[in-house]
Amino acid sequence: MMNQWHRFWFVNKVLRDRVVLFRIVFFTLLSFDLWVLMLPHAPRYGINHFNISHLNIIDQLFPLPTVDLIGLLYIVAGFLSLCIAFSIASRLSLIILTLLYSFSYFWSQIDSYQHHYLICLILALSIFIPFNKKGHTDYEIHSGLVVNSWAIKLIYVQVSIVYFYTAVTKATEHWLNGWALDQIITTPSMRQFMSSWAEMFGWAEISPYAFTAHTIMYWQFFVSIAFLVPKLRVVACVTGPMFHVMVEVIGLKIGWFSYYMIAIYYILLFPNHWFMFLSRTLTLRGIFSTSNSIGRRTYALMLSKLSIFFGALSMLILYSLLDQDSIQSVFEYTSSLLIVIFMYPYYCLMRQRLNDQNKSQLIGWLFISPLAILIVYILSKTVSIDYANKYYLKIIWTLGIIIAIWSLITNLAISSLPSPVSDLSSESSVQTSLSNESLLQKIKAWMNHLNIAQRACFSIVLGMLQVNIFCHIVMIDHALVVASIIGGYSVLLIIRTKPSNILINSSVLMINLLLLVFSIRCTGSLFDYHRFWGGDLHRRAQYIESAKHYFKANQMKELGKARYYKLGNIYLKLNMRESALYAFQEAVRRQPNHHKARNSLLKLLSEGNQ
Amino acid sequence: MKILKIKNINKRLVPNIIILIVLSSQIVIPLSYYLGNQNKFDERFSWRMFSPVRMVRCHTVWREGKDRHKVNPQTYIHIVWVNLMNRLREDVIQHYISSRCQALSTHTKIPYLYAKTVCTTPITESVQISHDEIATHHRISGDNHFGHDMINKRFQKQIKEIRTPVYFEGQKDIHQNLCTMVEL
Repeated sequence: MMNQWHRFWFVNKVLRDRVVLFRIVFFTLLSFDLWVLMLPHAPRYGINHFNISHLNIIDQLFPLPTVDLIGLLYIVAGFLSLCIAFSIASRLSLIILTLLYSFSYFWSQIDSYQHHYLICLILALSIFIPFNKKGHTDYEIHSGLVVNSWAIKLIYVQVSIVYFYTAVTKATEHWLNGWALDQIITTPSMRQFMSSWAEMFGWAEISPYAFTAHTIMYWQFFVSIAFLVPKLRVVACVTGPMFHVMVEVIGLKIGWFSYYMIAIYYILLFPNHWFMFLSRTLTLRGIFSTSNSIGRRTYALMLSKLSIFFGALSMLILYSLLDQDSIQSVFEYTSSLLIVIFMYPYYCLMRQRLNDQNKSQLIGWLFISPLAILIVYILSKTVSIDYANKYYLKIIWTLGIIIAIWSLITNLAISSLPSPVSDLSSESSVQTSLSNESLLQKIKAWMNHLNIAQRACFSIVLGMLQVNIFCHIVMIDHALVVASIIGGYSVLLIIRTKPSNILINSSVLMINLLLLVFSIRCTGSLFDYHRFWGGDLHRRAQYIESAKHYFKANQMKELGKARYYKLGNIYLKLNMRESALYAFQEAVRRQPNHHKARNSLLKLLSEGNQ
Repeated sequence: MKILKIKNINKRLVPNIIILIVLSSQIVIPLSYYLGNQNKFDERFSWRMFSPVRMVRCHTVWREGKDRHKVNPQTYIHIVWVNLMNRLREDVIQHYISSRCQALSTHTKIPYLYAKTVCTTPITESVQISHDEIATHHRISGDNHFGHDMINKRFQKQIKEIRTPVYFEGQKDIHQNLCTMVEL
């Protein structure tokens, strides 16, 4: 019995690639979930000092949550999550992240999403996963059979328990006869599909729902076993993502739960040989293998050319932007330029790591082009580019962003590999020691001789740059406090980093901040944050505060539909006629078909004439 | 050999403890939903996704003052809390009652708060839950629950016995001042 227990938990070899991919995918997903999806909901918290936490002890020991505090927790937790994805101080960041995320969840019942609770549990278990354990031999690096972790096994068991209880929930008459599912499915196309299904077989209207309900329940029981029995995983890893894609098609409001689960299916359940093949293809790991497969090289070259194309294109657009007077301040441009320069040493390091000029150029471009695209994208959002009649630009941006994210993930996977430099002969090292390497060596040598005070100065400069960028672009209350925490944490991490890793870590911390700013500023997260807040204040007749937040929301949206009509109405309630006039005019200018805004504007103008 | 074994045991003591804690909590907590005497409308931590209970649609009418005028709780709290109250989350309702009664007591000597909840499901009769009944139940039984055990029993009884879809609004008057239930 003890032997079986021991074998189940402690003799458990998991591909190291799975652990690395879990770290990268899960934590990247979590950080964007926090910034894009959860941050806009921060204004729900602490309204009128009303709150009940999930655990009574929190109510007794801690103050009430506030919008600013929750916003701060989400932003900082997202930053930490991305630090873990990039493998910077994984353990420390993970412990802090688990505490912050769990606390923000348990602090208020306003967040009762069960998948957030599941994330709390997975985060807590992840603390015990050996993310930084590296293989020592070439065989171990390439085959990856090196991680032996009971914590990963516990995640399998945890997910299995979730599926088991979810299936038990469905073992009731009202689920199995289909009426619960009939209530859940509201998408017209899906309902039509169910009706046509019933018609085809001559069934009653409810029968397809009942059939689907039965299938779901049995499938969930099966999956709960498959997470524990490796032989069954082949079936589960195919049907699982299909199920979660269907959940998305149905349109259930469960946040990004489906995406988390699809990632978990791929990372935890795919059989080893499928997993290795897919991860090598998707992450271009093939170019590191010793075999000189022509197909892989062609594939890699094609990607590199695409990246170079988009990189060059983004630089051209950046140049055209500079010719215009539309840039709000020189700050954005200089800071983005600084970041590009800052990334150069990283590029050099990648060249050295790869020890091959061609490959290094490829990786260098792969790394710099997404960064350039990101910077230009941020700039395009902060300056007012009118995309109204330039759909081709939108298409280029979309493609650029997809390739940028892909390349970034690829490089993350590559950067987690140990450097092969030491294993190679000195001859090949000499061949590759071009001017870039010598520059890198100079920088590295300089870095190695930095004393603690100089390192502190360097890190403080980095931290201040981060604070500056954040405060300048992200307009929220107490932005300085949030930025200071992020900057302060970066300073702390750089001070305790080995001199040889300072360059990489500081570059990655800067990328993290850029991604944070990008996702908050450009995805509508901040617009929703202020819009929701303004809406709630409006419902509670706090018009002055509501107008303030609607105004901020509108500031976040330079183009397209915003909330000017609502703002105009609030101004009218506050008897601010001139402001209301401006708001209605702006609403009509942005949406010429907005009849309500047009009528209000005409009414206001006629009243003015009288 | 023995030393090695003891070392191994010590090395695995912490993991074993963590595994046991996680396993037992993850089995017991959801199980307590089914076996325990808790509010069946509170499905937190039980891994119940899209259960039939979740499909029940409830609406509560809140009234305040001696004249029993209707009030919209959204005026005081965020809409998410209102939704949670409409899902019969006991502690949220209880907290709302106590906070409202507290707020009302600053304006009047005797605060008055009344509520009536009507729940409907597509295939069951609507389950009318007037909070005065709950209050009476509360006073008689003297427990600290807001009476949702009674709602649960009634709801489950309805769900078991009634199959025909009937929609109707509860007509029963509200008698009990909920502020008499809470300590101010």
